[in-house]
Amino acid sequence: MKRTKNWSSKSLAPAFFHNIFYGIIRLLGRPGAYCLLFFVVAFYTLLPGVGKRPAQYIRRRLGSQGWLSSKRHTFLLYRNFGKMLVDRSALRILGDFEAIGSDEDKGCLQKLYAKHKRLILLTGHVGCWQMGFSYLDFLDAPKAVVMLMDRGDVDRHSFKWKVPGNEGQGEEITVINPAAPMGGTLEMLSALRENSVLCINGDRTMGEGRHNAQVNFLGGKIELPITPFKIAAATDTPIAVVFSARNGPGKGYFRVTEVIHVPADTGKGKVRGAEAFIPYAQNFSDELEKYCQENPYQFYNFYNMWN
Amino acid sequence: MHTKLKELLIEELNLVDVTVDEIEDDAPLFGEGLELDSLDAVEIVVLVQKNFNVEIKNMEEGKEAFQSINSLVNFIKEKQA
Repeated sequence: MKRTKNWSSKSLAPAFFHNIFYGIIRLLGRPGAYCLLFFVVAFYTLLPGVGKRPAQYIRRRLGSQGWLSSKRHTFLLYRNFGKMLVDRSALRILGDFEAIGSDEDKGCLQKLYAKHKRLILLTGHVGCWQMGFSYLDFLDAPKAVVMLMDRGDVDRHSFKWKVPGNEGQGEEITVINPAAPMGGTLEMLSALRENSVLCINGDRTMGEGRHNAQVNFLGGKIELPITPFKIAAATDTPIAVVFSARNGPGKGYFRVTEVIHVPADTGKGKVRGAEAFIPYAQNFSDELEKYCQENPYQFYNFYNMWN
Repeated sequence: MHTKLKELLIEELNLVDVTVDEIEDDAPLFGEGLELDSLDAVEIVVLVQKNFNVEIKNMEEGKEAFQSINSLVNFIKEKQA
């Protein structure tokens, strides 16, 4: 059964409002944009359709404690998301973002890449994932990212990253569209063959039920895509689960929480198909849940993920 | 090569209830026909490389190769020549 995805990457606000934020960042820097953001987020929190979008997550992670409390949680979630978007724009405009990570984690990623000459970084729509390439400048490797850009996205230009120390030129990053024919899978394989570090968000499906695995997450069942695990198995590539968290204005912390090795023969033995990849998807889901316990207001899947 | 390729597809893609004889040489691999999809394409790319030492690099090449068994065989032969 072919299903459609139940989320969208489209911005809520029209291009005009984005341009106001860009102007403020140029004139007043990040603090000015954060101030304006407060009022914009308050508006969207009170807007019935938009304000209800994270309701399922709030109920499961933060509990149901009445209208006022629910609005407070919604406000804090949207405000963090907005701050991340401001930081992303400030990075593009001012070339300024401080991505921090431990030497141990950096060493772990360097070792994995040196051994396999390719690497999959699996993350989620959390923290400041869109600034991930600022963190990855220590990895001397071509980089590719799987990212859906909906037609009509008003902030598509924001997906051109600048890497600090690169004279504002921006690092060459290959963007692979999962909505392309074959779901961009051939391009993902190609990137790994060319010794790239391939970044994938593993917390949203593209709607094809056959390639999704049902896993436990925050007390219910959700579906996660098996694509990253299947591609890892097919190419003998290790997966590093990496999550980020904003920890101040223009600052983010990146952590490697798990390394997953998917054997090449996964799905070819007794247990076949998506079912064979459930343990790996569950492993990722467990890491995502731990992240949500530590950073409850930095989880940006604003739709009902649960079955 | 047609038969070997069909046997590999059945084995690697876990095509239960499908025999070599049932796979037509000119039937579409994706969509109608064998009803394969994007993750099956990953398997095909890998099996073609492993067994025939031929790389399908991107969607441009995949589009040409993945039309049918005939086109996949032709693609492999062309690359091997």
